[in-house]
Amino acid sequence: MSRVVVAEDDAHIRRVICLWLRRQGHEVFEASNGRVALDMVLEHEPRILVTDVNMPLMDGIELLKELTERDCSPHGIVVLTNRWDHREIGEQLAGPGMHVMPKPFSPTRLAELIDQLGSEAPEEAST
Amino acid sequence: MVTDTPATQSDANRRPQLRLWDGVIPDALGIGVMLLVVAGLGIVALVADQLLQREAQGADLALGNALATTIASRLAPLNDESSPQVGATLEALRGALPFQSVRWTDKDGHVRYEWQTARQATASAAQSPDAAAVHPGQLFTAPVLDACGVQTGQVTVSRVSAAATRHRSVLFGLWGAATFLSLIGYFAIYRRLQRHVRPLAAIQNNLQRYASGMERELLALSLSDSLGSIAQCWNQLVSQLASLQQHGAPAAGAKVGNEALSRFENRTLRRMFDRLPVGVVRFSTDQQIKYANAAAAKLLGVDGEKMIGGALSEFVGEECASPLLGSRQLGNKPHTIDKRIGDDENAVLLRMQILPWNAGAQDDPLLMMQDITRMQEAERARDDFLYHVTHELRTPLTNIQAYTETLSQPDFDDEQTRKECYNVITSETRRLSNLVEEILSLSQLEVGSLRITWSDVDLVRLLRGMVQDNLGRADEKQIDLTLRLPPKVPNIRGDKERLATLLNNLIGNALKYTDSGGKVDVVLDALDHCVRIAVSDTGLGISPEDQQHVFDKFFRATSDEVREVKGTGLGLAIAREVARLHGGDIELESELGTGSTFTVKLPFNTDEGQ
Repeated sequence: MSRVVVAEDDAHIRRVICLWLRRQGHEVFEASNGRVALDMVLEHEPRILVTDVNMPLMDGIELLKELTERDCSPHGIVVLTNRWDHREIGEQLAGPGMHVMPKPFSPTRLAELIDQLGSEAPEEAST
Repeated sequence: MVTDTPATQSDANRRPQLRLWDGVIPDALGIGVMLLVVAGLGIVALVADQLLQREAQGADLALGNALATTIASRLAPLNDESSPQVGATLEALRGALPFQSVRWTDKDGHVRYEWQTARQATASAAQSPDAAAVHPGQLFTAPVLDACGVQTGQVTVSRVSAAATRHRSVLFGLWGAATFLSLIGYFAIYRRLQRHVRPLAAIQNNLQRYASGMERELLALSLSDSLGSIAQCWNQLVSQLASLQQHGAPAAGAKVGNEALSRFENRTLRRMFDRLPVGVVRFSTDQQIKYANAAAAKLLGVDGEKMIGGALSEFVGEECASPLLGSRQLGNKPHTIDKRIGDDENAVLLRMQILPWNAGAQDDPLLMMQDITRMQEAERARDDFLYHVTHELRTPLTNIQAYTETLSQPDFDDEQTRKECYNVITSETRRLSNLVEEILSLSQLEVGSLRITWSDVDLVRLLRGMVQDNLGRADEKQIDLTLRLPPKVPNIRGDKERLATLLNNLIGNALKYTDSGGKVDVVLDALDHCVRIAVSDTGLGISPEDQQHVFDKFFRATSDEVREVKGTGLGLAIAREVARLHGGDIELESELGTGSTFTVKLPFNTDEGQ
């Protein structure tokens, strides 16, 4: 089981993600914006980060840039976005352990992906 | 000059021939003048005849008296009238003097001797014995005197004057000759003038009809060749124009036709092109500008006259001219280039396009240009709108899908989770429905296609209803919702349903962004020309930066507290559109952390349908 930080400004979406991940046995930390999420990642050093793109105070893209600059990116990152240019975002953020999932998404598939990311060894990370 | 082909000649012949018979009045005038001249000559001849006759009569009188005196002096010595000497004397005188008859009477009036020429005698014998007939012509008398000077009788001599008839025939002969020569001269001049003036008049008429817009007439009218060389030249020109139109491409050397067409059509076409809102530039294959309309000069910010003869790259820039000209050489494929012109504040985005152009044809390439600044802004606004709409739609859809999937999983079968799922699905479905409704309303408001039902609206009643509807929500959050009304407020003209939406959005927002224990005041005032509705809250407040955008579509303040409250960012945009639709507006006063006051002003008299 992995430690996961979920950054999502919509309370209902954040709630349902956490519901599924906790049921899978993951340790989940909730953040309603990018800045809180940054603090949580720095504090708890999670294996996986699930983040929305459009968030107040600090959006998902800025959060990932900040983490990369500080060299403390989690092993697996799942970017949730309801932007219509999600393909461009995917190309922009492409990197090891990075996954872009457009909204509306299936919580079953998200849970499976996080299980998969949690079970992978760090060097086997895929895009 | 181009030689006419038989086909074009026959075409010209088939066209209606112009026979001008409209010179009747000038012709009548000419004939009238000629008749006046002839009559004048006749009058001159008559006057001359009278004068000459009077002169001749005077001369005749003197001659006749002298004749009578001479005969009387010869007869006086001959006392015996029976003597043969009398007849011989008279015969001798007759040879020298012009008289027809002589009558010698005594002093008592008895005829002593009577003599007449043989021809005269024959004529008088054949006609009648009347004395007047025996002595025709003028009669002259002279006394016969004896040696002592005593009158013994009288001689009466008759003679016929030939002078009068002679000069008369000469005069009328001259008059006849002058009349004849005048007629001949008139017809010669008339014919000569007609051959030159008629074609000119016809051509002038043609051109006037052509200039008045009946342009096909120019090619349809040909003149009869009998009207002379000018008509032949005109017909040749008409044939050339017809040939040009039939064959499309001008034949070699057909510049005459081309130039004629240009002269007639250029002015009209230029006026048309100068009125177009789109810039049009015609240039030659070596980039030289031949024509630029007014819009082109205005878009490029230069003097139109200065463009003529200049190089294309000089005005649109080398970076645009090269690719545009490159595309021109490719043939019919149009090529478009956008160029920003002017400084940042007044920048204009210009779209330039070479129109499809046939490289084989003789015509010049055309460059079209238009200001697409506003079009691009509209495209950007549309993209923003789509971006926000998809973003806002996906959030409730994501919730509905995620919670439905959760419900379908047997792992989440506890009552609390299931209840939570149902609640979320219900609220998100409502949110989705409201969102679609709001997007639709806003779009209709913006494009002005929203159907408005104008009626007298009692704002007091409307506000009471709105506050009543929201009391439940206020109680849930323990917010003190109050309504203050003046004693009397006139009705306003408006759409009751849209005004209800406006007030509901303002009151709903105030309740949404005010914490528990806060206060929301709704105050209605009647001013001189309008009503004022103020909705004040003790809520989160709006930062000065966000205040500038708070009425923008899909705008939501960036603070965490605001993000925690669900909203589409359309409520205030719709409220403002509704207020403006009623001729009013909304103002905002707010301080972060203290609260906000939205004030709506609606005029009593609204220009309905504006």
